[in-house]
Amino acid sequence: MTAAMRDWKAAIEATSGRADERIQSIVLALDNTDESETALPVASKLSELYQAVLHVAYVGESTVKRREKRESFNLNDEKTRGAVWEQSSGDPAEFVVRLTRELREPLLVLCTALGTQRGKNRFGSMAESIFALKPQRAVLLTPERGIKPWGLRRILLAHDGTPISHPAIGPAADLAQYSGAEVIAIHVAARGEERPKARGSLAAPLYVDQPQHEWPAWAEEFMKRVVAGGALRPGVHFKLKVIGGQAGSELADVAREQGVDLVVMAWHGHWDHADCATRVVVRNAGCPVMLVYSEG
Amino acid sequence: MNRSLFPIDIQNQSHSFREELQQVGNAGVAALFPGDLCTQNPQWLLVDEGFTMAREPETESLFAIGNGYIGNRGSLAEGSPLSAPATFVAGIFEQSETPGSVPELMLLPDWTGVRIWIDHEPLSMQCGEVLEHRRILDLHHGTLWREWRHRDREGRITRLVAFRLTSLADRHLLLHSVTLKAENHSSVIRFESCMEAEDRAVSLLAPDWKPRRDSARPNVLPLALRVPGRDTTVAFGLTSHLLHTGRVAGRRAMHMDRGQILEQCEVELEAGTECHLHRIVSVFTSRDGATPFENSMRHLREVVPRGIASAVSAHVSEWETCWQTADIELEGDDTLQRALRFAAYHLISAANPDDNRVSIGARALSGPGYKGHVFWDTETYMVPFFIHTHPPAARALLEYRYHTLDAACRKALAAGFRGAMYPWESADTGDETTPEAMIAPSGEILKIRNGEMEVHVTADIAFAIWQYWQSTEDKDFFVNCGAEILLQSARFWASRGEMEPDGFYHIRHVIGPDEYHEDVDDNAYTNLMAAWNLQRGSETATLLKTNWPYAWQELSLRLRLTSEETDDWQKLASVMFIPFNPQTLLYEQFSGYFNKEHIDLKRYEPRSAAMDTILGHERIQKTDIVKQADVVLATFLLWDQIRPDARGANFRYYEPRTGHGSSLSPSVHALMAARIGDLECAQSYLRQAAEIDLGNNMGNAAGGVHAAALGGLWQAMVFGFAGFRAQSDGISFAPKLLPHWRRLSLPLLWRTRNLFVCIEPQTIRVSTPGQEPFRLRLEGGFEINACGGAAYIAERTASGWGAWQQVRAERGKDQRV
Repeated sequence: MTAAMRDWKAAIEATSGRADERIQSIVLALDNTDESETALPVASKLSELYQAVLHVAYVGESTVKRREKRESFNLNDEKTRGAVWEQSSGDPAEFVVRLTRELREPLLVLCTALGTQRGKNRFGSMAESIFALKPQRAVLLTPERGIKPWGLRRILLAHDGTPISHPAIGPAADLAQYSGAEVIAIHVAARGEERPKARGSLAAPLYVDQPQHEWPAWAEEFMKRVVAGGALRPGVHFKLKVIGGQAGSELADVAREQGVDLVVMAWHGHWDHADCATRVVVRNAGCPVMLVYSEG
Repeated sequence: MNRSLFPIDIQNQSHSFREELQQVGNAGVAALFPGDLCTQNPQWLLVDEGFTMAREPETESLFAIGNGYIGNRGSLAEGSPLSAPATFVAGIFEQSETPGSVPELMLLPDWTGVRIWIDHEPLSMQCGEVLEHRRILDLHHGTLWREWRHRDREGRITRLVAFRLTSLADRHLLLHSVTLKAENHSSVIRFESCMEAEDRAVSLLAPDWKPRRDSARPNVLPLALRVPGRDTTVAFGLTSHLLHTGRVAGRRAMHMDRGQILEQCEVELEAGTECHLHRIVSVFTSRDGATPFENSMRHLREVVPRGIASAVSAHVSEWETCWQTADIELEGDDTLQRALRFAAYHLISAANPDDNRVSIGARALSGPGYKGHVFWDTETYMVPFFIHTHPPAARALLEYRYHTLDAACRKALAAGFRGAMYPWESADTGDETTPEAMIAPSGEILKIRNGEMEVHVTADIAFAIWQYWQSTEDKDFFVNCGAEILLQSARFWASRGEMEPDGFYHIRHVIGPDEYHEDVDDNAYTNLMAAWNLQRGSETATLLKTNWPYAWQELSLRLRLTSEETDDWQKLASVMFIPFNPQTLLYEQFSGYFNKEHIDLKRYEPRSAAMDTILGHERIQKTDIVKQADVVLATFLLWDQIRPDARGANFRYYEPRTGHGSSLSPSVHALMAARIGDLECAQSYLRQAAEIDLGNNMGNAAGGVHAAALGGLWQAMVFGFAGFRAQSDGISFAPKLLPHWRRLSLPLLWRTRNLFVCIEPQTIRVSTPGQEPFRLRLEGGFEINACGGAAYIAERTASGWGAWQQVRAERGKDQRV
């Protein structure tokens, strides 16, 4: 690159002034159940990785004093050092979402079992209510993982090739950079679905005239977009994988098979039916899932 | 107050850009808008409104410009994070030293780079607010336009209009012009006009090469580089003129080294005024002559004094001439009309009739996809377009195969065969360039067997040569080039198969056009085409002996061909194993195909990917899913030798089993559906074929346009819906219009005649200039001995078509006005 080109790029970067979107607050939503507590190791680790302040938002039904809560959750000092404890007032879901909106660059962490009224294939009522309010970034996990410690070595970045998926790229790259984890960018060539029509979409090719040329070119193109989407960070190692099938179940299968620690995916803000891909991934991936809200 | 434009260039004779544009347009061309210079008819324009960065790779491909010698992607001059500007010169392949690497079309320095600074702030889509932005590809004039209105962070509004072209009249000449207007600000504007070579190219420059300037033309900046792995040099010469209406003359600085040219021009612009930067670039390579640098300098010395207007005018005129014989007009479907012009535009942009040592790669010169390699696509899907619109281009493409015949013979010999075995993928030398392995999307490493097994390419080339010969009667080509290929390809087929105890000649271990099934025996397409090739080889020998005995004598001696050998070809053709069942009327695609697991493709619809991606490489081989037209393609190409009742039967059998995993497939299905009269099916496939690039969501236009699919679209219209067939003694038509089409008119070149065909729902009219009579046929059996200079019309009747009636030719009806 010539000096003139370097100057040009530097000037554009300086002028376009990208905001620092590094997570600064982790909001852990807890009620007074053991299930909700399973989110703690994840929230705690994320707080450490981001060097963010951990806010514990208590949304249990009874008012409990802070000290009692800490005792009842059996939270030791190591896990909650520096945590800010917030007591809910009013509607619990609105409280959590309001809190995340008030904080700078927040990330919400919660267990799918938060709340009590659960239908088949539905999450806890409070989790459902919180997500109905479309938080910008949230990590969801199922209670099956228990309270065992959580680390981050492998991240699965789900990308359907549409610009709507792009917002997931930066957060995946951020975490990979902070943790040293590798990122597997996965694209599911879906059956039973129309090709995305959004401008700039790059779904798996419909025509593969000569695979020896198409696939390397497609992979390069895909990764260029991933890089342009914010993935180019020092030390971040990306892999690309394409599989065919139903998006939700395939993603979950790969997450389990590859021993993934976190799935990162864009979320359009709705999951009306129980079998939508996002729910399927959250339920079956066997690891926490970071949902990054993206207007679709 | 109007001020005269002040040229910064030292040439006193410079016109202003505005004046020059006016000369071209013969009207008051507004400097900031395309005006008369850009075609106004929307059916000739491809417009990309706004700016979506993620879509930039596809947009660059679709908006590529080219002239068969050089191609350039439609990138933004200032770039963006997803921009991939690229310039390619046909035939300039580089070869890496990495083991297992194959030659690839070299990415040459981007000559379109212009960065603009306004009071030291970059003018970029990434900063500030884009108020208006569009790219317009003028298909009629082969010109790429850009209009951009931008408000920066300081509220300064700047308007920019730019155009560029690769001259079709002078293939070494490239033009780029930028007009900038400071709408509401007075600022210092700095243009950085640049051209940069990639580091790897620079490091391989000839050691004795130094940046040189021509003392007679100090404004001309040169850049030369050596092609890695080849003894080839490419030289660029660039000259820029900055014209503006301000009072203060600008400052100018130039920087050049062996890797880049950078010219900085700075002007002070008052609010409401404009300035113009126009750049003239000349490109030569050592393939064109021993001294590319000197050629480039000499070229600019000739071009610059004549001015940009003259160059633009010649280019526009050349494009208009091309369209006279290439434009299909369709009334009643604007989307398809534009798609047809888009297809012809890119095909014309890809071919160079003056260079018979290059061919058209799978993505033409519009992108790096397929490394610029040439496949059967060119002969089967693109050459027919050129045969009937611009035969010299078709001849050049076929001569490329003649010049690479030695490599094909080497390949045959190395594989243990005789004659010529053409490579599956070919580049500059004609040697096999198919990569040996690939990493599948699943991560699996797969061996690529096409180079070894997809042998039908040899017959496809022979087929195209015969079509050209039949349609042009170009004796010089046939005797001096075509015949040898026909003979050597027939000889290959005579050695590729085996006579077996069943008394048939079998060809085993092949891959047919349906590449989902590898290493199959007796692929119907391959065997049918091989038999055809053997027959034409024998016929060629007879033709030469009868009409050009000296040529036969020379050729037979050189090739050590005997009459016995060529007679044997006929015999082998007659015992070729053709897996046809007269009861079912079906050709079995290959031995054992009918036993494959049946998959109902409808169960997978809608789907967002090719079937092999969904099912996987191993699984799909066990199914009856066909990748692309295979038997169906054979029934089209060998129409006259396929039983009429078998044509439709095979289409109806294979069509529902075809996954269309190749961009070559929809057009052939549209064509065949039209021919057998299934118009609903034909319409559906025609739409698919038209959307392969323009649909923008197929996932692989970034590497360039699908040149063969574009040729296929043209064929679907001409050979399918118009039902045109060239025969040994004449031509025939079987028109089938879709219900909403009001008129389909097309020019066709056939045996030096410029035919003009106009089809309406109830009539077909064919004008036939020229002298020699020929047979003019129409579906249903009516035919007439057509005389030159007349027009013939037939009307649809309740049962089909009526007889031809001769009428007087009329200007406007029988030729383009």
